Formats: sequence, structure tokens, C-alpha cells
Amino acid sequence: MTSKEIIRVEKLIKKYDDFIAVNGIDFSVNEGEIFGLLGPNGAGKTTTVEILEGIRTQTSGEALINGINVSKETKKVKEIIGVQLQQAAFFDKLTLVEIIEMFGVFYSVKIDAKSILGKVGLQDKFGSFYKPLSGGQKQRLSIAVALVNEPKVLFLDEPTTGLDPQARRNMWELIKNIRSEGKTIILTTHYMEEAEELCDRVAIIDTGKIITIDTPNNLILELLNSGFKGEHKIKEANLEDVFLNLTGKNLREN
Amino acid sequence: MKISLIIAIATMKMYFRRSQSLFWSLFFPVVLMIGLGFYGFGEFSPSKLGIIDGAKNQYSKELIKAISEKKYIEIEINTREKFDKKVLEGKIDSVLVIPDNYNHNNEVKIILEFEESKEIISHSFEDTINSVIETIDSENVNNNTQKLSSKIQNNSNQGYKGFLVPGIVSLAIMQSGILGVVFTLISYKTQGVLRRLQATPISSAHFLIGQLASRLVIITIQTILLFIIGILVLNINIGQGSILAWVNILIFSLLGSILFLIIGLAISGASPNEDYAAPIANLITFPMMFLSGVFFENDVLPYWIKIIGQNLPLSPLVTGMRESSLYGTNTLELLPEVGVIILWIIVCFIIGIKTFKWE
Repeated sequence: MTSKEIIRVEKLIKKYDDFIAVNGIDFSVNEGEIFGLLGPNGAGKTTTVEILEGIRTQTSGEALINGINVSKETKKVKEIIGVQLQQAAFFDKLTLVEIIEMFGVFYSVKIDAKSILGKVGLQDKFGSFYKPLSGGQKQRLSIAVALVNEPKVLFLDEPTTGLDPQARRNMWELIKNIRSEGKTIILTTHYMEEAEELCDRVAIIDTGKIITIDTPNNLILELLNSGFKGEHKIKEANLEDVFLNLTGKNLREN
Repeated sequence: MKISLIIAIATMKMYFRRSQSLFWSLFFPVVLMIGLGFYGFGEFSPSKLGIIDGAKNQYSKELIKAISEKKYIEIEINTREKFDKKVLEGKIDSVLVIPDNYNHNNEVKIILEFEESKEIISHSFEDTINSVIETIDSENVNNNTQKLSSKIQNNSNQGYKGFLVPGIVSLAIMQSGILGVVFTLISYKTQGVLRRLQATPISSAHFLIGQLASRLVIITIQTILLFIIGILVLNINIGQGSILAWVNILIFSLLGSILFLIIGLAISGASPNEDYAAPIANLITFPMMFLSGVFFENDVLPYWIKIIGQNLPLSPLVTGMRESSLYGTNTLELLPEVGVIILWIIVCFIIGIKTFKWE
């Protein structure tokens, strides 16, 4: 693993009137990593990510991406990151190709919209509008848009929430492919098996603070070494395996 | 610049791909225009005779008094200039011209002027006036000195249609300006489109300028189409044939669009979702629809409501449009209306900036 640091977050705090969403967070991410931010709802994951994306400004502390201060040179940072937001939509009544081309203009880059859409598996949907897309297709479009400017860092906020098991597996493959191109990925998720499958390291956040950061494997070993025993005997397969075995792994959205 | 242009082009594409937006900007005003225009709503006022009293002496006063005693004729005494406008609007059916040298002693010629379309009512005026003259003459020593003659003119009066069309066009500018922007921006806001744009390097000004520019074009097209429908279907004529009238119409259309687009932006900026935006938009547009002289002259309103109505943002637009299209008034005379619209633009812009929120 290359060890060049690409994201650095120091003593990050975000306060709303009388509520502290992020309470002194420190971490750093290396180039090429998939870094997971895990935590229950309201733990401060999304706020942290939105500060890094330049959508919100922190109350205090510092966030650097590729050495650039996010709050001071927000526009520069926005040019080198790609963002998939949890609750975002795109212009209706524009075709997917038109949407991608429009975002290309926003980043002043020349792009081949069709090849970007092909990359996320939307080659059959060039001329469709946003609204009739399935949930999985919308998420993949969202990732395609995030890739328009060839970002160094890609932020994915709960990319598989609401997807069926087939679409989720498909998304995992897509995320692995993007990582293999050398991009750094910051992933927030509620699904632990997703984090285990994809993330090189994870940070677990609760009530605005980081409780621990390590590789998924080390965290599991640490727990086991402390004498923890799972409530259930581990089976060789789970219900999701049954589901996928019976319904197949092919996408069901067209 | 390029970014705003791309957003403007995309917004227009989306507009023309959405069938209900065309419905709101054309269908509704056209139905109102044709419905009210053909029905002749507002033309059922009692027949009215205009009198230009050139002599202003005891004899002419006696004549006018005698005519006014005929209960079924409503009369108005005014100047030639005022009557020219009122005839155009169809508010005066015919004009009786009493000459400067009118008296009971010499032979004088009184003229009744009317347009072809008002021939029937004018003949009944003629009979009435003739009988009045006969009565006066019979009480006089010198018989038969007064002669009434008719002067039929080509139709210039457009009746209520000519009054209505510029009103409806102005109303449509307000509706498209405010409602179009509010519904689009609020849906972008609630669905998260605006949030996604915030994550790109473009500034919010790029986005808003693009929105404004596309809608200026759309509303200009709408204004021109509505007037053309007025000409073709309702037979109105624009500015008495003066080309300058079209220039004035475009100036007012652009200024009015900018004003109502900014009001639309301000409403969508200040409201978190459609539950706030829709009632605010209705609260703002509804009074203007009825108090700004769109469907009828607001002279008929009680004094205080009339004063309020005259000062609403739609009023100078309606006045400017109507003066331009009905009378072909020149731009210089309309500068007060232009000034009031610009003043409103500045006020609404400042309110908009102070209250705008992206989320």
C-alpha cells in the first residue's frame, strides 16, 4: 500500500446552536485507500463528510485534501474531488448524456459522456431521463457524475442504501473497479458486511467522536482476543447467500 | 459566462420537454383572453354619449341639460383628446360635437360622430337629439336653425378586447415569472438538486443567472405569441399600427419578467419547501390579479383599495402594456411606469438577497 497521505483532518468541530454534531475528530487517509466511516444515525458521519466536500464549514479545526485547506480554498478542493450525496437528485427532463455533459462544463473538462456512463453500466440508458431510473441506476448515475472530473478522492455517502442484494453486489464491484484505477474512496455506510468487504480501514464514529480506527480484520481480532463470543454459532452461509443462490446475481432493473 | 449559458440552455430544453409548463404559460391566458374577449365581458354598460362643448355658452348648456334629462342616455362632457382614447376602448359609443358658434339665432351645424360598429346605438342617439333640437327650436323665434348631421368613421375601437389582451399578457408575465421559478427552484431544493450543485465548483450566481436568462427568453416568446393570438383571433390591432409599440411591448415584457422572476427567486429562496412557497406565491399574486387593472379599470374600486392596487408591482406593467398596445403611446410618456418597475426590481432584489437560503 502506498503511504502518501491525501486527506488530513485535525481537531474538527461542528456546532449547531446548542448541538455538537462533530466533536474533535482527527484522522488521515492514504492515497488509494477505501476508508470507511461507520456509525449509527446522527453520529456525525455525514456532517464530517460534508465539511470535507466543502458543502458545510466547520466551527473549528482543519481539513486538508491533497494538501489544500478545504475551508480556505473550497473551489480548488471541489475541482479534485467527486461527490455522491445521500439525498441528491439530478435535473429531470435532461437525458443522462446531457446531465453528464452539463457537469463536464461545470468542471471545465472535455469528457466523453458515453464512456463515463458505460463505466458504471448505464450504456443502455444514454437517452433516458433521470426520473424513470431504478434506485440502483440512480446511484450509478450519481457515481458517474462524481467521476466526471477524474477526481483524486471520491466520496460515497451510503451508496447501497435501499438497493436489493443484486444491485448491492453490483455496486461493490463498481467501487472496487474505481479503486483499482488508483482513486481514494471515502465511504459511509450502515452495512457492516459492506465495510468488511470493501474498506481497507474503517473509523467508527459515535456522538461526534471517533471511537476507533483500524483495518476491519484487526478490529474483529481485537474483539475476539478480549474474550468476546458471538451469540450465534457461525454458519457457513447466511440468508443473503440463500437469496442470491435462488434468485441469481443478475441485475433486475431493466 | 459559459456555465450560465449552459444552464440557461438546459433549463429551456427541460421547459419545452415538460408539457404542463406550456399549458400554464399559454393555454390558461389564451382561454381567459378568448373567453372574456368574445363574450364581450365589460361591454354591457349603458350606452354612453360623449359631448364636446365647443361653445360653452348658455345655449349649449341648455342643449346638454335637455339631452341629459333623457333618462336612457348617459352623457359625459370632455375634451376631444380624452374621447379619442375612450372611443378606442369602446367606452363611449358616439361623440356629439357642439360648434364654437353655437346659439339659437344663427344657423349652426351639430355633428354626431360614431364608428361603423356603433351605428345602431348612434341612430337612437340621433333620434333623441333631433327631438330635443325640435323642442328647443319650437320655443324659439327663428325656426329650424339647428341641423344635426352624422359623421361615420372607420372602426378604430377595439372594445373590451383591446383593453383586455395587454392586461392578460401582463398577468401571464407575472404568473410565469413567479410560479415558474418558484415551482422549479423549490423542487430542486427539496429533491437535493441544489445541494448537488453546491458540491461542484460553480457559484450559485452562475446558476441563478442561467435560470433568469432562460426564463427571460421563454417569457418574451410567450408575450409575443399571446399578442399574435390576440391579433389573429380577437382582431385587435397593436399600437394603431405603429412599430414603436412593439418595441415598447418588448421593453415592458423584459422589465416585467425581470421583476417577477426576482420576486419568484425571493419566494423560493426564503421558503424551505412547497408548503411555504405555494401560499406565499398565491398571497402575492392573487391581489394583483384583481387590483392591478388586468380585467377592468381599477377606477371602479373603492378609494383605498384603488390606491393600494395602483401601487402593486403589476400595475405599472399593465398600464405600460396597455398604453403601448392600445394607444401606441411613445416610450418617453411611459417613463414613470418604467421607473416604478425598476424601483420594485431594486426593492425585491434586496429582499431576495437578505432572505435567500439554499437549503
